[in-house]
Order: sequence, then structure tokens, then C-alpha cells
Amino acid sequence: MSNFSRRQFAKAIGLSAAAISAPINVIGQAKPKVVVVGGGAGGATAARYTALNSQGAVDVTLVENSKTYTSCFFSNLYLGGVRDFNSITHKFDSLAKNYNINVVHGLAKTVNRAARTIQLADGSELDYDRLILSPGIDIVFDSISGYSKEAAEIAPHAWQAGPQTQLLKAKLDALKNGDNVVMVAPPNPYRCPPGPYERVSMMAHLFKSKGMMDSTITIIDPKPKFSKQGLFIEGWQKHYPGMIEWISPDIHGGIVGVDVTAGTVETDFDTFEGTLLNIIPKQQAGAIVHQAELVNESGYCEIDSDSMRSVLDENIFILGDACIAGAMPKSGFSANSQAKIASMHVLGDLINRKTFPARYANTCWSMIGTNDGVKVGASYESVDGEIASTSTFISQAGEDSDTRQTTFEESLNWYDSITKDIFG
Amino acid sequence: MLLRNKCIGVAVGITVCLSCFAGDTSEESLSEVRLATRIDSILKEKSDIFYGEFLAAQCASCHSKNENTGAIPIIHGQSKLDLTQALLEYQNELRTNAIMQSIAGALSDEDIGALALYFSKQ
Repeated sequence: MSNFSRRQFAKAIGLSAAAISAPINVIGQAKPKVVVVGGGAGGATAARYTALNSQGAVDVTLVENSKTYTSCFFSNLYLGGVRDFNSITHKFDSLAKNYNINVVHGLAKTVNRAARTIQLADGSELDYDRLILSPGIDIVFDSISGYSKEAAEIAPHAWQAGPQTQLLKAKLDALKNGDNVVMVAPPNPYRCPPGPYERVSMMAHLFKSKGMMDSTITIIDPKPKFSKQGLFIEGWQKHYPGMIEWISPDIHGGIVGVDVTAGTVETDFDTFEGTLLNIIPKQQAGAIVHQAELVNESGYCEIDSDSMRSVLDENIFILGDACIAGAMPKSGFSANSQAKIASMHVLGDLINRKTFPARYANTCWSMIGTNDGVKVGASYESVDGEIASTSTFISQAGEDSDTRQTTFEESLNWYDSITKDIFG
Repeated sequence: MLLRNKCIGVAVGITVCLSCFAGDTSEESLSEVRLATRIDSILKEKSDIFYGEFLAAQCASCHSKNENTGAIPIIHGQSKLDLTQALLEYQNELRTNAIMQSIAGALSDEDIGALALYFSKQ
């Protein structure tokens, strides 16, 4: 689907080109309506850019169930005692006050694509001309035998930031020297590829800072390799010798199940026992895109790589973790980047604002230890119907401490900037 | 840093002539000349500020207008010459940040001109 335009889309799904040739504001009298579902890195950015660039010409509504947003990115630094919880928690006040966005706190349950409406859990309904869905991920609890939503209260996943993150932090803080953690890492594709490995780094950092040098962390991984693997393994040997063990599937032979009460993870090879279990299961796109029948067999949504428009509905755009974004990883940075492209096309549709060929970007920073940051990232374009990287970079093994410190400081600056870019 | 003279766009003609007469064909001086020529060429082209605004949205994930005081500089309000020179130096790996080398490496001269124009007006 190279250069997949609205006109081509209409042709593909059998609409006449004339039916979509006029912008919405010419057809109707009222301001066109944009509804955004999900107030995270994708949705809040999309709402903000749409409101900002439309200069009042469209009504923007942001639907988010939570009154505040706690970022998954940097939540590992909170676990490690490097950031406090408030510093990774954000409000929607500025989006409402400074950008005139109608922020609705409620749970978006269903989409009626034919009527172009969404229904909230409280029974209310919103109509839209364009809908942007950025629901993030849902945890597939039953993908691991013995795990469930209830079990997550004992063995947190903490892969959706908020109460789960605070629960995991409380449990980590309660550990004593000699206690150990067993993490089950998620299978691909999942939110934040380096995240589990930054997390164990921050757990070890916490133990080390408290003098708990006899405590260990074991990662049971369903994947034979992982993001920034060489950099993490080098960093673990340097900062936390003997504290972190990574067990690949060719060693453990497969994860059979967990018993959170007993604190065990059973594999084909052995049963691992942890004072604390951190179970991060398989993930899929948030529930609303399943209800709206916008997912394919992978549990995620196919999008047009030029615009982030759903390939199944020209009025709907899908961002972030919920979509299949080619070479882009599922990250807050990716969602923020994609949101700007989706917003551009929404305004192109509704008020004829000029559009340009898509450019995307992502960087994933990870903190391994004190002043030791690493990064991986790329620039992306739409190439032959796929989001493809056009230029990539990654931190190098054996970099000097000044470079690593600069990288860490960059990540602090980045966090401040991107959260302002998202929330205004 | 290779290019110390911020007035390199003006100085380019002189640099070329001096290099020729002095028979100085060292790699460094040739790189300087090539870079200076590209800066000059980008600055002469008319750039599209709306295209720059579009591209700049991707920069805003890291470059904030008012807040940054550390490892990521504020690029808003810098001169078109400085911005053009910086992006070309990253592209040619004369500045060392891996992210910016990668990002600049994916930019055309038209992209650089548009970005430099947009940020210079902020």
C-alpha cells in the first residue's frame, strides 16, 4: 500500500471518490469533531497537536479513564529509587485549559463505526468525524498458566504504570538481603522492548544501594535474545556482578506456569523459586480495538504506514502500542511520533490542512546503573507500505563513562521535553 | 570542532581560493570546503516553513522550547546558519551525538533548510 491516499482508500473499500472529496467542514455546518481515546503518549499528543494546529476549527475530545497518567517510561527508575512517583505522573489540566480540549474521564467501551459514535461505560455517547484510538496494551493474563488479574496483586506485572507499579515498588522495598526476584519476561511483540532488562538493572541498583549484595534476580525469558542485549549484559557484569541471571528458552525449555502463592515459576528444565515474582505476560492491543473489529489475527491493528489510518476504516486512526508499526518498536516515543502524523492527516481530512510524506522517530534510553545510560533508536519513513527505518543508531559496548553519563542526562532532558510535548 | 567560523557562508569563496593557491588539498580542508559549499547552497535556497514546521514536530519529543538546560540544547531561536551548520556537521559525523548523527543522516538539504528556517523563527 505504497502512498496510500484517502482516494485510494475509498477506491479500495468501494466508496466513490466524490463522496470523500470535500472536506467535512464544507459538508456540515458544525465544527468537525475529533475524538481521541487514550490519554497516554499517543492519544494526548494527538489531541494536543490536533487542537493546536486546527486553531479552533475542530472540536477535540480526549477520553481517558484515569484522572492522571503515570508513564511506563521512567517507571523503572521509580522502582530503582532514582525517581519519585509524582515525577512520572501527569495531569490533563493543561490540555483542557491551554488547548481547549474537552477532557472526558470515562472508559470508552465500544465503537459504532457505521454511526461514527463511541459509547462510554457510563452509558454516554460521543459522535466523531475522525476517531483516534490509542488504547495501549492489555495484559493477556491467561497466556501464562496460573496467572490472572487476581494473581497480579501478589506477583505484579507492573507493565501498565500506576497502582501495579506502586505495588511492585512496595514489594521490592520490603525485600531483605538474601531475598530474590524471579521475573518472567514477555514474548514479542510487547510494550518497550528494553523495558524488562532496564527493570532488572534498576532492581539490582536498588539492592546495591541498600547493601543487599546477597539478593539476586533471575529472568526467565521466552525469547532467545533481547533488545540491547550486549549492552545490558556488559552493564550487569560491571555494576552488579553475580546478581542478575538471564535464562534463555534453550536452557529452560519453555515456561510451564506460575504459582504466585508458592512463589514459583515452573519451566521444562526446573522450577524457580522467588521471594518476589514479577510476571510480565503476553500483550495485545487494548480492548476497544478488538470490540471495534480493527485487529488482525496478531491481536494488533494494521495501519496505513503513510498516515496511521486503520486499513479497515478510513475514519479511524490507531496509534502506539495497539498498532502494527513495521520497524518501530512499541514505545511512548513511537506513539508520540505517530500521533503527529495521524493528527496531520486528520486535519488534512477535516480542514484541508497540508500534509507531507510521513517521517517518524524513536529513541529508547535505558538506565543500567548510576550515570550509565544507553540508547537505541532510528528515523523512519513509509517505504512500500511499511514503516521502515532509514537511519539507526545504538550505544556501543565499552563506551567511556562520560559518554554514558551524557546519554543518561539526555534521557532526563528527553523525559521533561516529551512529557511537555504530550501534555502541554 | 572542524568549523569554528560561524560566518563560514560568507567566507566560503575565500576559503576555496586560498586552498587552491596554497595547494592545500588535505582531507580536512576539502571537507571544510564541501561543507561550507553545502551550507551556502542550503542558505540560498528558498525553504518552506510549513514543511519545516511539519519536520520540527518530530524534534519536539526531545527539544523543548524553554525547559532544557542540560544535555539536549534549546534549538528554538538559533540562527538559520548555526542550525544548518550543526545539522550538516552531525550528518558528516563532525559532531559526536549518535542520535543526532542518525537523524541528520536521514535529512535532505531541503529538509535541513526547512528545519533551520522554522527553528530560526521560533
